[in-house]
Amino acid sequence: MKHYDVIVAGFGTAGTIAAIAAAREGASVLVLERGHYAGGVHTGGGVASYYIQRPIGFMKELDDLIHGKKEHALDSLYVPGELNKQELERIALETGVELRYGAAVYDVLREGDRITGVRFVQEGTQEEASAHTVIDATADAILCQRAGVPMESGRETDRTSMPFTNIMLKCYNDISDLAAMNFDAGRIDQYREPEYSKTQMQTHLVHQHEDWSQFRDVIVPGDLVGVREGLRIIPKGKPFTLDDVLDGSGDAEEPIGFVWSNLDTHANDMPLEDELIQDWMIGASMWGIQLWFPVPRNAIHPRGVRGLLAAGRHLGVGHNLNYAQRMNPLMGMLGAAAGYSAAIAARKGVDADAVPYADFVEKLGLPEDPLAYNRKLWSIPEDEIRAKLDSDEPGIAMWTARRKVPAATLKSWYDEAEPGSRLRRHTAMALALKGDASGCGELRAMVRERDEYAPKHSRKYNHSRGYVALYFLGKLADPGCVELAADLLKKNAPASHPYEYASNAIAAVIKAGDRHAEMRQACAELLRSVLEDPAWRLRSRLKGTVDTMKRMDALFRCAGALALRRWGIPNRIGEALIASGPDPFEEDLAHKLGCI
Amino acid sequence: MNKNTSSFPDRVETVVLGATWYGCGLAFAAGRNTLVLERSIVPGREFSLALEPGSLWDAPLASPEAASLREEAVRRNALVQGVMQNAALTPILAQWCLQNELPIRFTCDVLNVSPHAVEFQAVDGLHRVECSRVLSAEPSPRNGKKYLSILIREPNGTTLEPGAERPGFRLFSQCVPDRLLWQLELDAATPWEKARAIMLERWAQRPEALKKWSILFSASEFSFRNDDNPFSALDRGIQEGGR
Repeated sequence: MKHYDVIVAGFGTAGTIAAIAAAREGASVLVLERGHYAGGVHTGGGVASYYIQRPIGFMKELDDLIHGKKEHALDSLYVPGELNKQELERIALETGVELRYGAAVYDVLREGDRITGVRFVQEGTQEEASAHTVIDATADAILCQRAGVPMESGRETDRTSMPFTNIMLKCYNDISDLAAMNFDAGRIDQYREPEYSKTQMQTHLVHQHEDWSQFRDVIVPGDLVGVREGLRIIPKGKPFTLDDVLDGSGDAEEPIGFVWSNLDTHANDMPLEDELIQDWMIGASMWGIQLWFPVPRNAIHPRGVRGLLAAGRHLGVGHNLNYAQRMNPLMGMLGAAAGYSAAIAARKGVDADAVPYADFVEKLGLPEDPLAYNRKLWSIPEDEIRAKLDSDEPGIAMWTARRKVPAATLKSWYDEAEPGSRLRRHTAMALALKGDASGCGELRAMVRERDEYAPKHSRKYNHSRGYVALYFLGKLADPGCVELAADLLKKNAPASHPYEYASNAIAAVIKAGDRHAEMRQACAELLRSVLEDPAWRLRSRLKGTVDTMKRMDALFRCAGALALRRWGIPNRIGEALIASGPDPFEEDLAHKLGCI
Repeated sequence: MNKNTSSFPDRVETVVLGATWYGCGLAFAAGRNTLVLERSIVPGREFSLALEPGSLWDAPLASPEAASLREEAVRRNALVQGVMQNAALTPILAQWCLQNELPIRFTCDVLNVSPHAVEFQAVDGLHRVECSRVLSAEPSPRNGKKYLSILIREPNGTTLEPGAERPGFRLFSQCVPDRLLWQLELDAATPWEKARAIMLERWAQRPEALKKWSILFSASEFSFRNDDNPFSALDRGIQEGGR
């Protein structure tokens, strides 16, 4: 059995950078890639472009090397995937990396808690290789799973992850090669059979056209599943979460990367998400607000094992942070940190997590104190917060007030303002963000009026106050929200936002029932009257998606069924779900959650 | 090996290796008690992912199923005057697989094959399925050769002059005139990194007529030309699968 300093499983966005970084540091490196090219979804997979943030550190160095040499001025977020595919492979080979394509890892070798190598199959032959450190850059965490690393996935409510894209590569006239058509193709559980294969097959039909002469620029299906989220490792030490960024200092211990992004969720069933993300997205309409998100070093160190690092979208951070931290540049940063620390660990004969941070942090090229931007954003003085609440752009002020302005001060502003005024309504929302029900009267008025006003602080997805107020009434478990929700669900919700009103109404009723035992019978009757009707449909309209993604009724039926089970109330929601024609993912989810 | 067998049958009559067009034909003919293990996520990858241009599109087909799919491709304007739009192949075949309830499992890496069992890794872990027979539908080299297809484009949208000199460059038309498929012949043993190095070396020495053209995309699968076109491959599978 051949021995290496470092084995990198997966030659995708993180794996290429990890392998090249480790080899540059002098390590002997074996790459095992089950596909046939370098770079994964970032190159041949078609999702080549960057989102908001250009790469930093070692990935930027490689980008400059590639695009400077080839006269492709990389002055936009667009990346020529074909060129990167060729060049990353060339650089890896020139750096001394041993490449094995068509080589699928399927198990680890271990001695006690130490991972000492891998088992893989290439062209029908099973082989083994050993290493001082193995980097799992498979994205699907194959080696971490085999090693028994504790994992988690999805959001708290139903463990569901973000929608995925069934990638098709298209020829765009304004760029020099192919890129992915970007849309959501529904949800997939990439770890469950046979639902995974059924879903994958069905979503190929989103590319079915009656007349292909209208789609001559569509070239080839992607060969990689366009998943945005999957299993995440539980790291050594405390996992870093969105709460740490939005509610804490924002500092991460020994950071190995920084992401400049908004929380770019594709979840369009937001009322089923975790409360903090709902507060941010629905309550404060902050979808497009960009922040710096740090990643601590422990995010690549799986708990319970030695000799194994995780570099890729299975990094050990919370679900909500993943909305920002799934981006291509960060994958490169994770790869660089894993590659450098693994190589140094081999040279020193220690575990990678025992390598002093100072030994490799300079090589990562991290920006200097990017979190100063966040701190400045939240440093608005109180008088300015009040002025902003009385403006068209109250989001930052509402969020800052959540932490910095005492409820008594907000209540005084609320009381002073005219009913129906901007200040009074936004202050009611700021109070609700703090969990304070003092502004419920104004919130109820907004729901009754179907208040269409939307603030303007987010570059997209600013929410109308009518259903935002309904969200807040649910968050506060305001008893009055049930009557308002019934009115919306039994009569027609406003034509402008039927999905948002209906989805937030169901979520509000569930929260009210959870909080008030005496109201559960009424809440249950309302939920059953809607969710037990097989003909009831709930279609998302938050994003431009294909029809398969627009239907949200199955997920909300599951949420209702779970609530009624908590309350001990028998129901037939599961039967209605099956009768409504769920997709394979939804049917499997309903079974997993015990809704059927 | 820690085997997770709950999501796969313990035993089937036939295991087909590869949901290629040929493999789908085999599975269709082999009947319900069949399992198809596909390493990619795309049915019919040997044409679509390989960007294989195909040939002899009007050749007779024995099975009504293959003939019907070819008619569908023509009706959808995916197959026009002997030129097939590769992207259209996947949804057409996927719909046919769903209609016929072919038991295809994606992202399966075969670890070991014996005459009456297959061990493999699926997305949910390691499995072993016993069977009466194993049929391989994986493309394989003929005459020691394989091919890498590369999509090229003239950025200004001008087309190649008819009869332009291009020695050693085997080019195929696409559905639009400013794009062509260049197919590179390789020894069957050529690894991927070597194939791409040859591609770039040859491209650097391309004839004058191609100087303004650029590489858009190189295929992620080699082509082996085991069949003339996807419908012929499906047809062959249907003929052979019941044996």
